Amino acid sequence: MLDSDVQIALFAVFGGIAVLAALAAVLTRYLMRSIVAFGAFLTAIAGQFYLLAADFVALIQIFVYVGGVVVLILFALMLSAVGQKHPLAVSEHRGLGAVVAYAVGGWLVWAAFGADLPEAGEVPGETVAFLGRAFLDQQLVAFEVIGIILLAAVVAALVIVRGERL
Amino acid sequence: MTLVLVFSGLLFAIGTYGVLTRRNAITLLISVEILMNAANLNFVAFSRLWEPELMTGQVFALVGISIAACEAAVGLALILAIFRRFGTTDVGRIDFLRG
Repeated sequence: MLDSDVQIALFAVFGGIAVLAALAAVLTRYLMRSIVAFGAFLTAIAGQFYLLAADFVALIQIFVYVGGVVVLILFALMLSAVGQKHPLAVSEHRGLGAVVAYAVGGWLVWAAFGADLPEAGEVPGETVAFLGRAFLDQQLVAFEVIGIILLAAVVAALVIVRGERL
Repeated sequence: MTLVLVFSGLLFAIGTYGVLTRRNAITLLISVEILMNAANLNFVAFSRLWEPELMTGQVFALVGISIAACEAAVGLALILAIFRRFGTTDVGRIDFLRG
């Protein structure tokens, strides 16, 4: 899967950063810190994509997530201006949530160690050309569906935000 | 490969905890995005195990990223509309439909 010891070590470092940042994003009670930790999490995941021979996916992860979604969330925070000074309320069911999360995580990790997986194959060196051909050939339906969903989402977001003035 | 699956399982568990325990709508959205990223990590990893020359997993991850962006746009629009209507983004206090 990961070819050398250096790659495995780098993958573990990115994974550690991702897990810590995700924990910080979920646990902190200040919204701004949560968003910054989320940005760090996304960047670490992009590094993991790159190490898994998915350079184009890593690039898109940076463009769309760190450049798009995080900025969008920041704008929503600025326009709704909640939780910047005062800590946010958290649910009273934290114990139950921890139990469920522990069960889900434990089950997934157990399944990961028990899985019987085939050997990793060779990936083409230039993923961009292969992905472009795949999107316009076998995966054309997925490409078209993404376009329709993006259009619907943009129109829906505009209509919802304009509200009564429409 | 097991390393990838372990990390994605841990991230999924963290996201689950966030979805279940946070009450602010924006942090809920962030938790859902963490869940989707854990899934995308698995798609990219499994892309190398089965028919790596077709890159189906990477295509799926790209589709997932697009869907997540759409979801964030619509979700944040909803959050803004709800904030204008109720003056809060605390999902526990929006109980308009409570009987």
